[in-house]
Amino acid sequence: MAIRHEEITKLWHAHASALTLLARTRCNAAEDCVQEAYVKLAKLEELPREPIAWLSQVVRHEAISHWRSEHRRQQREVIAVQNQQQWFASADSDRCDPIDHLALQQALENLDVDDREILVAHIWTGLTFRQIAELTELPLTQVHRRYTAAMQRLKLEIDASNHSAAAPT
Amino acid sequence: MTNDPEKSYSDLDALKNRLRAIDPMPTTASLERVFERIEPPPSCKPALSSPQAVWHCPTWAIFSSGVGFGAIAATIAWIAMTGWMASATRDSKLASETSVLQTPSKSVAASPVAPTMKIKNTVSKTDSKTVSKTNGTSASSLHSVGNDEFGLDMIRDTLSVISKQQWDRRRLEERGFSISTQFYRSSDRSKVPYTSPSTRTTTRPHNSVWEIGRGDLDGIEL
Repeated sequence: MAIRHEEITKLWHAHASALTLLARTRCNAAEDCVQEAYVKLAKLEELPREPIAWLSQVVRHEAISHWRSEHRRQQREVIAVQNQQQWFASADSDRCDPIDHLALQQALENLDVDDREILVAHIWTGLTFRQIAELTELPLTQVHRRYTAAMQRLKLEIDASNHSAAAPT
Repeated sequence: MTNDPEKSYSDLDALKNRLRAIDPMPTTASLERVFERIEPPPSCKPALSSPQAVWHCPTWAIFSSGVGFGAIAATIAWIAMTGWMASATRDSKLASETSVLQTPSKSVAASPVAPTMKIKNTVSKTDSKTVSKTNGTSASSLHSVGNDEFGLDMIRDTLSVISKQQWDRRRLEERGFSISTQFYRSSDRSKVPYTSPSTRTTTRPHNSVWEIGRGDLDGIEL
């Protein structure tokens, strides 16, 4: 029995953006990866037990595959193309202490790719540490340790960014 | 960064909540495209129970209405044009030969008084003579002769060529020739004439200088 359209639509609206963000941690063709994952989901006979974990896995594999091909191409090319994709929607101005989304993006880009993936998967994709451990094939304790370390680095970078922005010129 | 682990964790939790409040950039990829990739759009879904299923698809409808009717209209226009040109030629010929037509003679009666549905090589001499004796030929019947020669004859000839090819192919297959498989010499790739099925096993050496190549009707004289 094929998965119904309504279920795919519901999963799309719930997770597509977060999965795109997860793919962006590794490659520049994030939306292609997400679409590919949903196409594969639609071809399944029945819904996976944990759809978001399954989708994350497929998106991650797609992103890694894309990254590899991108990397090979970039090695051949003389001029490296910098894709300035924005990762987050603009910060909410009503919030008392908004985080500059560009500073956040920069801070995330400065992280190690595996740490960045763990962070994004936990915070925005909403995966549990156990799911992330299965996704990344790392021990659960190591996932948690890397997440904590990455958050501390991120906090430092964001604080530094805020201080430099607030400092008088 | 603080040295107090408790405070550090609470700081990280606060940061996590702040980060979680930021929405990821919405994807510009569309869900419709996902559905298009897993199956055709609903409007193009053929309803197999309906004989008119193919017309449900707007693309097909546009293609068939545009190209199909265009092709039919062009064919009709071409036939009409050639028929008109032929009839105009006939009319001018007729005008000059009216006196000849009115007096029956063998030379003139044979050509313009061909039967209305002219089929090549099927009209006997007696038929043409019979008709020529009546000599009631009108301009309209002559026009139809022109249409046959330039329209129906052409279509009939095309169909006869196709049927002849099919017949020849069937005849070859009945005699044991495989149309789709031929043998090539691997050294120069030249096609080896293939005489009969009985010699197939004997003429083919076993020492790998022969190989099976794929071909179609090319090289077989029909």
